[in-house]
Amino acid sequence: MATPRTISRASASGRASTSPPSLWDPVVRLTHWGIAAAVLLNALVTEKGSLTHVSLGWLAMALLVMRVVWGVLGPAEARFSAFLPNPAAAWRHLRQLLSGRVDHYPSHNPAGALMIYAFWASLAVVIATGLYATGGATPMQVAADNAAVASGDWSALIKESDGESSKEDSGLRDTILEVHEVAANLLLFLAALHIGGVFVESRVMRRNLLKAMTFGDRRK
Amino acid sequence: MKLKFLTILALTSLPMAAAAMPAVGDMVGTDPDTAKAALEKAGCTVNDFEAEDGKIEAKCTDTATNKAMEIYIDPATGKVADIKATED
Repeated sequence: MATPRTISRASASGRASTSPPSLWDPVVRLTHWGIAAAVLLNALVTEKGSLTHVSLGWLAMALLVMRVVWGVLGPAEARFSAFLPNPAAAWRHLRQLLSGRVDHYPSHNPAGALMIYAFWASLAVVIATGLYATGGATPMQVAADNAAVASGDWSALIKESDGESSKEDSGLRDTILEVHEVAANLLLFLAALHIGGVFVESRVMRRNLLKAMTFGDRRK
Repeated sequence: MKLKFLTILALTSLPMAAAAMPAVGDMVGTDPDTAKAALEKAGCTVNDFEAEDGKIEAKCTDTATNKAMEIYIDPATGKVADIKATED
């Protein structure tokens, strides 16, 4: 029978190997800030359905795909295997935060990991509903449609297979757009929680987590 | 009694108020000039046409209520496909 053991418990000697990186790799940092910027701009600045809005949505989709691929092919600390979702461990970690003494982990802590999966799931919903609402139109197609309407020629928008759209189609589209907005607001709410989490963790762990996601020094 | 009278008045005048705006299925045209004229005649002053999800979105102002409206036109048939009040 296996003896119970504590994984990744920080100790005076083993600390270096069980600490998160002092600087995340470029792909992790690029996808993190790229998605953060795209989400904030689309939620608060760009006009819904505009070329900029659609372009940023596609950019976020590309970055999300990139991060998921990196979760399989990237360095050990960026892989999914380093931060599998574990609600029980996340709960334990949050209770440890209250006591001010936390275990250290080689990748994201279990609460942070759950936050990441919640982000990805919400983002996937926002992207999927956005794609549905635009009929999967690429930014290039949106630009072409805009140019056609601006020039006064509406015939370019007519699709061969397009019959008269039914009332149900329009109702479903409204519902999808409602989901798009709710999921986007959820992303903003998660982002606020995430910033609070980074602040608290940085204090309790006595590590500058912001530096690790920006331009910190890479230490072994 | 007075309330009943007012209710009947409100209900009977409702279709007239609705008739002041274009309705789903109305033919407004497949080019901007025709559609602009048709929408203005129906009581919505067009400010701009935009493309949205394969439809033409006419941004117009309801002349009766001064509210911003979005009228979606099917570019193939020239008919109104959907009407929405602008949010925000």
